[in-house]
Amino acid sequence: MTEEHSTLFDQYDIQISNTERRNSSIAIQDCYIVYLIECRLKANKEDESICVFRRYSDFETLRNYLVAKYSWVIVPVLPEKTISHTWSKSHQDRTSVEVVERRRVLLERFLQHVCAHPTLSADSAVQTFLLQNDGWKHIVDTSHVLNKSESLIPSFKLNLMQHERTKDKRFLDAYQYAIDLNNVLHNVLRARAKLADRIFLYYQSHNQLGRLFSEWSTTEDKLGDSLQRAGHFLDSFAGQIEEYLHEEDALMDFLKHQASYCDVIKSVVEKHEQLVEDNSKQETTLGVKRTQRDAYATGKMNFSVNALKSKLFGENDQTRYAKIETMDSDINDAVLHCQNADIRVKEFNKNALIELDFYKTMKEEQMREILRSYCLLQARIAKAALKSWTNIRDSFSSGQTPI
Amino acid sequence: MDDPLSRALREDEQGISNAHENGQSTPNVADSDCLENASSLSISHSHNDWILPSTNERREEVEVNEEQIKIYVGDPKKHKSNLDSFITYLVTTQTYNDGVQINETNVRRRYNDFVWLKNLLDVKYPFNIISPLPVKHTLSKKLHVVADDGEFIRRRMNGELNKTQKSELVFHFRKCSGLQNFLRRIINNPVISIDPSVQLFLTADDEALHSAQQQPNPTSPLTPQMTSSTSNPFRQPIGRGKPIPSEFSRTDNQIQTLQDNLRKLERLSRKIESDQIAIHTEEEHLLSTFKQWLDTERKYDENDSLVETVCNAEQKIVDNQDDLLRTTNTKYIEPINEHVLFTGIVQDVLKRRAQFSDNVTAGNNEEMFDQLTIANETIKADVQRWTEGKDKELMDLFHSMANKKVDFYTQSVNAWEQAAAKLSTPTNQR
Repeated sequence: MTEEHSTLFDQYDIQISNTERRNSSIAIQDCYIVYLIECRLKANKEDESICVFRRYSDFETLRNYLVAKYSWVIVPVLPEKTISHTWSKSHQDRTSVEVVERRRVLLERFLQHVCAHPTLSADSAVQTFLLQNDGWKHIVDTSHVLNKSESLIPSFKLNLMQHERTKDKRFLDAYQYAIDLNNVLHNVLRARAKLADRIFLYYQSHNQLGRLFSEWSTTEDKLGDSLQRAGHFLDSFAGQIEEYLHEEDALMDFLKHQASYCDVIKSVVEKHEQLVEDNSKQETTLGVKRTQRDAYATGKMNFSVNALKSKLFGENDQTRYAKIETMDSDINDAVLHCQNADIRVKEFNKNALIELDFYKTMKEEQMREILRSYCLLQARIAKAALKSWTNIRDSFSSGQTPI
Repeated sequence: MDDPLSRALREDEQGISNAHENGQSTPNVADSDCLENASSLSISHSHNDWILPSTNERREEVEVNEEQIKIYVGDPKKHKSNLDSFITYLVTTQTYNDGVQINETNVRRRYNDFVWLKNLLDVKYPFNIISPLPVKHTLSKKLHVVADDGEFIRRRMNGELNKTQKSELVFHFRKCSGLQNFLRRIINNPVISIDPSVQLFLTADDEALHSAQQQPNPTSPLTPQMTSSTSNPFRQPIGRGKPIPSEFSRTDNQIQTLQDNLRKLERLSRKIESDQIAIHTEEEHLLSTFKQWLDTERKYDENDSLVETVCNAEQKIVDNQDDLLRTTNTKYIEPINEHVLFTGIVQDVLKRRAQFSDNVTAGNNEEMFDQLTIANETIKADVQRWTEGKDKELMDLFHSMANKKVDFYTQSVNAWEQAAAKLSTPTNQR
């Protein structure tokens, strides 16, 4: 279906071009949003694009499947389903137009990142998800990775409580960095939300001030004109902020999106730890088995319970040899296991480290973009305010010489 | 609005009071003119019928005064003696003639000296609008200042500065501008500026002033039956419930509306200030989280230039906000408060006049009736002068405030645009 080295992203223009509200029943609260994914071949612009409708939960299933199947990959994250770090006027309703739009942008980004990833874009489920109406679910279901991974999750968490942190510095650093970055980003988001609240109140007060000026202007002769004009400009000053703050909300969504990558990194590192631990466990069992066998073979069992038992029951040589043989084959198996596990760990490490580098470049690019838009937005807010205040100032300076 | 008779009567009264104060002021042309008019006119009982000429000649005189004298108050200094400690302010009076400075006097005055002058003028000119003084340094005021400066003070608590010292200093510097406004307004009033006690206050050495202060207060031009009732009748809420005579009821209504509006403005301005302080706190908080982020990036040798750029921009905003906040209170809210006090004084004057007019009607005494006419005209002239001054001052006040905001936002735009430009060009710092 695809060539070896080109990703879906290279071949297709992928975008979520539309959203639609659908009702699963008559009740209004049962409505859900479907997203229209449109894929268009880059090489052949005249071709009709391939369109499929997907729900948010479909994205979720796909992602879970990818996480389970490619444990070393930092799978791109989905936008959060719950809305957090809000301020008083932010859109709380999950299905409001603004929220859906913000989610659409992030889902689009998710698809693009998945498709730009060499491993993930080659997955048949991803391809059918994008290019065929049905069928992707079947692939996901038959792969059985989902159920397994789900059952694994609690054991993962339990193990984490006891086992030691990895010795590998690269993973350790990545893990710590992910934790720190996550904390820091959430602090930023919290602080921003509080600030947005304050700024909104501040502008609201200016609305009141504008009203006062307008009322006052009717009872003043000389000041009247100036007051009225200033009141008008104050009103427009106060009115402009909400829209900007919503724009800022959207930007903060991107930042939150970046923060959720931290969890992915953490889970990749945890998997690495899990594998390393499994490996070492198997090595210890192998070691135990070896010593047991050696002890049995050399007949030094005077001190063991087994030796006592065998003496009591009158063991003959034949059964003894048979036992040693089974033990040997056991050991061989274990050796094989160990080797396999070792290979798996090494493979995983190699891939995961490549992934981490991949993520870092991506993160930097994204952060630059987010921070730059943030600065530009702030500049625009300041510019709008500057314009308003210049007008207000000018309404008080007509014919007057300022001090 | 003015009219020859009442103006004459007023000048007449001024002449009398001047004589009473040993005629220290130099009589001017207007004075003598009015005296002539006074003798040739009879008193009418209906004040409203008078047709009044403009007050051009007198206003010229005002402008001349304004051009010639400039007053500065500054340099608060603390004096400590065994018994008490007090602050003196340097009062500089510069006299100009055709733009050339011909004289300068420097005197140091205590706040109590200002109070003395104000009380003296209040008694002597019950129907003139005398500028309010800034509030005396009391505990409540001090607490208020601390509360106002809560944000600044709180940060200072963290170590570097002595909190009370700092707030005291801030307070006295603030009071300077209030005292300066007080003197400036007195000088701008043609009647009061030539009062000997004002001249004494501006020029005399400490001993002369103190000996003047020892003397009993001059008697008010009002009738003794009014002054004898209480030691300071004008500070009492007088004429409560009595209808204001018709010719001033409109003025009174206007003043009331203005006062209401100014009160609202003051309240709103304080609210905006506290909003601003809240923003400032949150902005600082945001900055600190950005700094945390920067630290994290540095700790793991990540590329820190991105966050650093934003940090720097945010830092600039916080600093600018700090500056803006520092000036808001002194330069904006306190002047508004001053105007609120001012409207209160105007109302007091009107009330005094109302009571006086009641007395006149009761007494039906011709001499008192003359005084009422004088009072009416003094009030009319002063209200007009005061309205003009108020318009200009409010205009300038709003203008300078908006200008501050313009400066602030200009700096913000620059800071953010620079940051954005820095972020748009990929740097290879790693």
